[in-house]
Amino acid sequence: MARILLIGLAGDSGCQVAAVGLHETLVEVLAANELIYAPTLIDAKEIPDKIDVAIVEGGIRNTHEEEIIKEIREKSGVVIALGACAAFGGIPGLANLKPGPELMNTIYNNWRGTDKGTIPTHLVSLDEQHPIKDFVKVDFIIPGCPPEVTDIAYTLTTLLSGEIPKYNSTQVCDDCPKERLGVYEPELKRIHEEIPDPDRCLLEQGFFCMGPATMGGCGAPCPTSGNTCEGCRGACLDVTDQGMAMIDAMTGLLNQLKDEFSVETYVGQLYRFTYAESILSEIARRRNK
Amino acid sequence: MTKVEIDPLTRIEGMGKIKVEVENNELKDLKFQITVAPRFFEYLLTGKRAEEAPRLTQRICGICYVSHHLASVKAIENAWGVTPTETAIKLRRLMNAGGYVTSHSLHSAFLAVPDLIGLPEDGRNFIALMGKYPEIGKAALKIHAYGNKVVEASGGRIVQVVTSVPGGQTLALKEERRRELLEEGKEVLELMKVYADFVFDVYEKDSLVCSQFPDLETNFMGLVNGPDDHYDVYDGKGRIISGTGKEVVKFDTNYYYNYIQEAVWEHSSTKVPYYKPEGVNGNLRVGPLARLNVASKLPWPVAHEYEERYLKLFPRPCLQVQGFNLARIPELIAGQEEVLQMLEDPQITSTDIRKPVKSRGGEGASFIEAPRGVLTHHYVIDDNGLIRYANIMAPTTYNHPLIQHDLYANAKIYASEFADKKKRAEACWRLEKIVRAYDPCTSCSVHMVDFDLKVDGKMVEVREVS
Repeated sequence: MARILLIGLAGDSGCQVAAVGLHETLVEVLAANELIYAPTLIDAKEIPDKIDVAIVEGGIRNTHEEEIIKEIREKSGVVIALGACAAFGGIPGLANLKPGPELMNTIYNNWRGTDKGTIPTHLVSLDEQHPIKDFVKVDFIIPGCPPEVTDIAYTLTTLLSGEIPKYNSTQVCDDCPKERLGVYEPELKRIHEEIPDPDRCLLEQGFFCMGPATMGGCGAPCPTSGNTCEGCRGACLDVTDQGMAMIDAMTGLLNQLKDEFSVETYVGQLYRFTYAESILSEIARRRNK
Repeated sequence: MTKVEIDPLTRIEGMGKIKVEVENNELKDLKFQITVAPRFFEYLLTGKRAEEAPRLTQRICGICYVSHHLASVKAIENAWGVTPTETAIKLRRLMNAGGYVTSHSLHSAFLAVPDLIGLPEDGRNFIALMGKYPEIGKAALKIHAYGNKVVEASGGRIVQVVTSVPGGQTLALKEERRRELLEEGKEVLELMKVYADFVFDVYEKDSLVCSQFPDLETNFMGLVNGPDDHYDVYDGKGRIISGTGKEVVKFDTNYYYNYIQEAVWEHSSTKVPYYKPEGVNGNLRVGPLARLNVASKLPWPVAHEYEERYLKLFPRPCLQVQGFNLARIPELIAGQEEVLQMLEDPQITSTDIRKPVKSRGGEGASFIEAPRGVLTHHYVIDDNGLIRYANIMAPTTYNHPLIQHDLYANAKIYASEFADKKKRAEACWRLEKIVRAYDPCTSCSVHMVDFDLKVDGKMVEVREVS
């Protein structure tokens, strides 16, 4: 009987909702083990000692969250980063393009529709959104926004049976049934402007699909639903920077990138979930220092 | 002086705490704080491709992601003057209603109802509910799972969807899938009645459920549709009524900014929206309680039956915080009946789901009723189709000062219990039940960190600026 902790930090609880989607499996796992701390589901108020498996959703954006993740690490055998925010910083990491104090001034003091004159000062907010690995050692990552229910079930049941989970090193394209001809359309397209051929590779048709630069195992639900892959599972196992891998995969299309697009636009496409851990953000950080 | 801290608040979405200070059996101070960090979504949308906003903004919330996805695409279409195809609108209504089924069933069974069924202090949770009432627990799981299936069929996947783009939907519903969902959906409606009766019984038999919570007089805001101002969670006009039930205003949601403004509070990172003509004290309560107060009726037969039963306990306008938890039940059924209505519509399987749309400049806003209340998205888009300004107002930001006020009023009555070790747990539990009733979505509040407001008799205490 393992002692399990489930917590959400700077995220949106979607990963925990995805875990609830295990339904009967979740009830079985909880019945066979002991859920000792999970503010969303049970009333335990203190983070207990001797945690076997800590499952953490969300990144770190303030000192309160930093303290919690450190306490959890100290008390836990295994720490799992659940989902893109915990693993790579996630979409909130896109705000790292603007330094913290400037961000506060913009949002609170210089935003249409908001009264001017007051900036909250009592925050102990960090300058950036961080993945939890910036503060503590992470043992396993379950990627995705949200993570696949099957990945959560596999990781939990494998760990709880005393085995070590292994993840695949495929890309989303390996899961995608669309046909690839190796021929690229001459221009970059936007998904609302043209209706893609449903049977053919979206990237080859000129749509910005992150499949080739993104870890597989999800079954490619976005391309098969008619929209592009956003890259929510992060880079493939052997790749360090998702955006660079995507640039590599774009081949001829790279010439078609439009000059009206800003840095924000590109970062939002290439690093939607991984900017906080990217080489690009490291360069920006050094420059700002 | 007795200081009590409830940290963390449990069985709510996100992280928060309450601090209470009592001296000589009188309440000295109460602070309701949210400890989730801000994630600056409005800023991070700047410069992004407009068509990606529905997928970016849904990450504000892992529970009402469907609401953000749809509010976002509606706002962009308003900015571009685009009307999606009829089938696309029906698919979106299907997705939205499915979102209500998952969100309301999750909140009710996992978060709120464990407080109402006599479970012991250390075991008020869904696992214990399953133990005591397995049939009810199983029904709740099936209802939740069904809502997920509906969202997946229309949205492409669950917990974050992918199918809404300006101009329509990217995924058509296949006839076979429609038939399966319709068949199962009818069974689920029967399960819902069982679940609903269970919750109604608790309220109808136990007057204590509400008696310990004072009424709170506020304005209410919700979306209404049609000449009879009926309930509609997808589209319509904004309507505000006063605490006495009188209509204050009805407005076109595309111009919401003529009616609603946001205040910044010195000691809080939450922006608080207010009804502009009344100034910063123009509070607005939103959510299930507000919707059933503001709309004339639920336009589906079974939901309406339960609405009538609800109104017997909570006649309009209901000012009682515990009305929220019961109001969610007719709404849950309304969600299911809208799902069935859409699935029975012959147009739903049409493949005329979208039309290509050119990127251009423009400005547009939209309202949708998220499960927790009115949600607003507003964008300014440049000629290249990139977002230049975004304003998002999530339901919890409206309710936040009112949660604080409700907590304060309650703690004032039971102040002596916080000082009494034997009664303290009960007094704290009562406060947690208030927070849970509102179903606050802390991560939804976008810019929220640390709500640290003192309310002392006055409705809201803010400094008016600008």
